[in-house]
Amino acid sequence: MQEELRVVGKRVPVKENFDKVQGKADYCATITLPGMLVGKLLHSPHAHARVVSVDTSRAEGLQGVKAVVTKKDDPRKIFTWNVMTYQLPDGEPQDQYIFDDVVRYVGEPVAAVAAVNEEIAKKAVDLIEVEYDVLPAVFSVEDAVKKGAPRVHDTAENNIGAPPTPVFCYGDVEKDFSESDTIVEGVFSTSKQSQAGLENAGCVAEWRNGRLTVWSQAQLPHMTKRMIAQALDIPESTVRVIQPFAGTGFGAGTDLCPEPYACLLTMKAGAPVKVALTRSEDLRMRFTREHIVRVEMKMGVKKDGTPMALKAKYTGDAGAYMGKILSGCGVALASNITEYEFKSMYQEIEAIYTHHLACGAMRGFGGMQSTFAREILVDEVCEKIGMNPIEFRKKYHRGVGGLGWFPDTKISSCGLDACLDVGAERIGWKGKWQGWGAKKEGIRRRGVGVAAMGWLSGAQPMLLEHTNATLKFNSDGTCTLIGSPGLLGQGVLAAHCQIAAEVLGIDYDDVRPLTPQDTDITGFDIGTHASRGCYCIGRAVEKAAQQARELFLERASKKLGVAADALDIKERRIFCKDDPEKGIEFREIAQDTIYSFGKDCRQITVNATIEPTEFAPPWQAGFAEVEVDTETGVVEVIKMIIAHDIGRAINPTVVEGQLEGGQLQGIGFALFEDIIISSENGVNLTDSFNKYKIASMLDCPDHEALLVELGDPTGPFSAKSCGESGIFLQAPAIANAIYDAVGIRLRDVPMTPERVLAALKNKSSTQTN
Amino acid sequence: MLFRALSPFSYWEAKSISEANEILFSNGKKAALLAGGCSLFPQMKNGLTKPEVIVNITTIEGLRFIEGNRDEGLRIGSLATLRDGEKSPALRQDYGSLFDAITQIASVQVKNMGTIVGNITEGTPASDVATILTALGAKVKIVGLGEDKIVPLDSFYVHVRKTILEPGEMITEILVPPLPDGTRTAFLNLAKTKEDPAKVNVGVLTRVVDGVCEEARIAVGAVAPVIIRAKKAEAILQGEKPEPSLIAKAAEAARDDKGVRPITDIRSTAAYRKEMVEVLTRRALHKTFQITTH
Ligand SMILES: Cc1cc2nc3c(=O)[nH]c(=O)nc-3n(C[C@H](O)[C@H](O)[C@H](O)COP(=O)(O)OP(=O)(O)OC[C@H]3O[C@@H](n4cnc5c(N)ncnc54)[C@H](O)[C@@H]3O)c2cc1C
Repeated sequence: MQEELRVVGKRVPVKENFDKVQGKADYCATITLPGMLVGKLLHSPHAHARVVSVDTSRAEGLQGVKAVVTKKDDPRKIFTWNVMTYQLPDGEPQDQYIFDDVVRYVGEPVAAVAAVNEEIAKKAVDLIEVEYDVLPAVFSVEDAVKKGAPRVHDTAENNIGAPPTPVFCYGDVEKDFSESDTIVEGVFSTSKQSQAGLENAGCVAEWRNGRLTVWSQAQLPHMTKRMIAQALDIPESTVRVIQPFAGTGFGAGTDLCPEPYACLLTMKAGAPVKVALTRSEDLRMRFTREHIVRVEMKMGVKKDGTPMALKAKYTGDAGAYMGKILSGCGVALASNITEYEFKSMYQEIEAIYTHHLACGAMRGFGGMQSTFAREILVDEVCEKIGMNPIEFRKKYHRGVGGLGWFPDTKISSCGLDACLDVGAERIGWKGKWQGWGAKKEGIRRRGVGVAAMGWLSGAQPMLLEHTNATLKFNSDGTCTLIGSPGLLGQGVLAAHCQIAAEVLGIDYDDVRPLTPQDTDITGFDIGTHASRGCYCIGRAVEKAAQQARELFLERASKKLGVAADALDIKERRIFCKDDPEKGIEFREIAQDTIYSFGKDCRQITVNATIEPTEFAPPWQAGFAEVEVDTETGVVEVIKMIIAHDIGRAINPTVVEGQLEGGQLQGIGFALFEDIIISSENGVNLTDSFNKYKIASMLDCPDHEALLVELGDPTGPFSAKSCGESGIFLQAPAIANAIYDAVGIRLRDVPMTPERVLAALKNKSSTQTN
Repeated sequence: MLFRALSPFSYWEAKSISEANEILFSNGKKAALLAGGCSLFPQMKNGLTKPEVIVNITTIEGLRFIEGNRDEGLRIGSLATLRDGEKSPALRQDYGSLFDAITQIASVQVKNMGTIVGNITEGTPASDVATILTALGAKVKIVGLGEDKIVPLDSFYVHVRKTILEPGEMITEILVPPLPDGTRTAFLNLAKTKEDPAKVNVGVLTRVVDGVCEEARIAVGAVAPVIIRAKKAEAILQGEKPEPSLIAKAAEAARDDKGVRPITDIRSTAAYRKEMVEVLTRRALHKTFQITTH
């Protein structure tokens, strides 16, 4: 760590926010191009049907319609909306066509129209006549695996997308269970949450002179480019992805959505096409959170709490396509390894096709689900052995050098103890937690609960995390930072600029991030997922800045006649460490690189590549205080505290913002967010914000996100991640607090009043029996 | 650039009640009256209703008022907004339960635009405002081309989004009766989030004279196609001393009222709603009878 930091750690404003608050930032929703057409999709009303014929003649005949595309226009290259698939050497399963012969969920596109305006496009969509051969459909994983169940894909027998597969197991769980003094287990279920971005899914595509430019909300622009090229069967270099600001994210941009349709339309119409979904379409067809519908988990410990064995199985409801269900289950499994020092673990994953909308990814990918199950079971174990749940967590979490998520990875830092301490202090655990079995009276009862987790800062070394960052300097000593993190409002560009400025000894204002981002300009980057933006991309920025710094010092050393290593840069000035009076303005050197009349022109442009390998988990402790109304089942969150081990907050305001936003989504996940799909016909019954409820400010309880900054030896300026972390611990901490208040163990998310009340009744009836 | 094309309609701004009546009458079922538009516009955008003629009544003068007090009763003009209600001292001081029902509506934008009359005319059984007004014994004044009518709210609704209003008619005001001494009222509801419509709501009015319950009115919303009165429960309380055990019995009777036939939907289950009728009724009665519980 540097002794004194001038830019890193400061609450400088996020640069793009000035445009945003003035309404001047461009989004896919706001982009217009000359001659741009409006694209509209025709969706299947059936959950499962063979598309016998699509008659587009009447639509094509409508004045103002410029193109209609159907499966006839699809080059029929198998692909997947999951653009992350190529982060693994063998990729994830691919099972989609742009238009297939069969539709597999209500809302799946069957045709698309481009017309001069939306009204005509909508009319044209209504004029398309589709003959369906409606087939029986299946809406739950339980039904899907039954003998004779309707098949979602001909190739998947019994609808098994992936059979139960053990991954990353170690030790002998059966032996360790037999040596355990206490064993607890449970079957948990979680919901299909929506990312619910403010901006609906949308894109603009333009086919011109043999090149396809796509304005997309992609979080991973470079891999989006590759996948679009594959689906359209054109060379990757013909595709250019531009990312304006995205009014969504939270994982939504890790999958394609309207892009393939917009591309087919522009290629046929020869004019740019915008496809912007309505909220209803967005909720019906944008891939949702990885739907790990069932988690079975069992753990055994010794009398003193020593963790012995953990066994778990994660069942994914893939929906109609594999999307990210396998990686989602995989992450549930992998992230479960790191938290506690179990002697042995056996975990498996499976995925089953149903006629639901498929899943992509959402903040807290997979880890939400395993954390929920594990942290509740830990609470149960603690009660059984009579141990304070904070003490258990402190005593048995893995620490530095311990096993990371992936075999052979080692934890580089761990601030969980401090998180547990400051969180407990802030919630007032000492006064509020009255020990196990404390008697509570009254209709409304209060309780407190704790939960903990360790997450990641990029999915290396398991996944490819290749990142490039470029700094290009101007003659006035400022520079452009060219990177490709995906612009989802996460504020990470501020951190990148801070890192560069700190290394270079220049000001925050001197570093300008490139926006919009354009794959023709930016170097390859995986993009944003797995909370990697600050840690991984930040390291590439740090490296580029160090290289540039050296180049500046070299040049200054010639000018000043002093060895480069005797020089330092601070506050835009290069000076001799021994004789600070002697020096030269950074700007003067910059000027000389570009306007050098001594035949020494060389604009300083450096590119740095990073392939991180270290495993730098941020840790977190969550504390909930709730009040349960035993007559209505309503759970009121009185206070929610999370204490987060960030390593170092490059920009504390941005980190807090990420964590606080996560808190709201986490409370929604815990208490009410739920996509409800009819089990009769597969229709999404919650296809508007009137029906799919997310938390508003009024639903936001008293809450705080506390930062623990103990550093990490591998991160840029010792930072770790925070992008996803805010969302994990509300559900398990609230569940544990509910138990403390009223003695019921909930195993299903969302924990609605209806479920709370049912559990309370169940408890009182088993007590009286 | 994105829009949802509405079906074409002609648009009128009425200058007087009688002008509104005439345009509405001559266009019959094709016409819709527009106040704040908070429920009319979403319905048009979703294609649930396709009026060919829209008559804006916000251009009529003299309809935006809230007047009166608990001794004289309250008059709410048809253009008084929910926000006007929230700010009205008469509501806050004398009709606290009506204030409660209005103020808990989460969206300030809706409260600024939406009228109190529009809220109750929309005809959703989940309306918080209509439930408490039903309990308060409110009546609506209906003005059409014929004789003016004054109709109690509990005979105003026919079905979900169906009222007794005939083509050409509009409501000009709501009349809330005075609250004689000993009268107390309460409103309670339950919803998924702060701004979601109620899963179930209950409005209660009781009048106690010399320790005896002389009058009880219990209205329950979101448990049937229209807001219902729990008359059996009311009868249990009538003429009796409001003891906790009697209140408990009344609350159970409200739950078991044959009018309470809730459905299961995305917001809740039939069983939960039914059970909550009891809990909310009991709690509301405890409130009006000033019985403290824990
Ligand atoms: C986001 C949101 C949240 C809401 N939350 C709640 C809530 O928590 N609790 C609650 O009770 N309500 C709630 N509402 C309902 C809201 O209060 C009503 O939509 C609003 O008050 C309607 O009034 P308006 O003036 O906008 O009516 P409009 O939309 O203009 O009219 C509604 C209907 O009433 C008719 N109408 C209006 N005025 C008259 C009249 N004078 N005579 C005859 N017919 C008339 C119209 O023709 C139309 O059919 C909510 C609404 C929204 C959009």
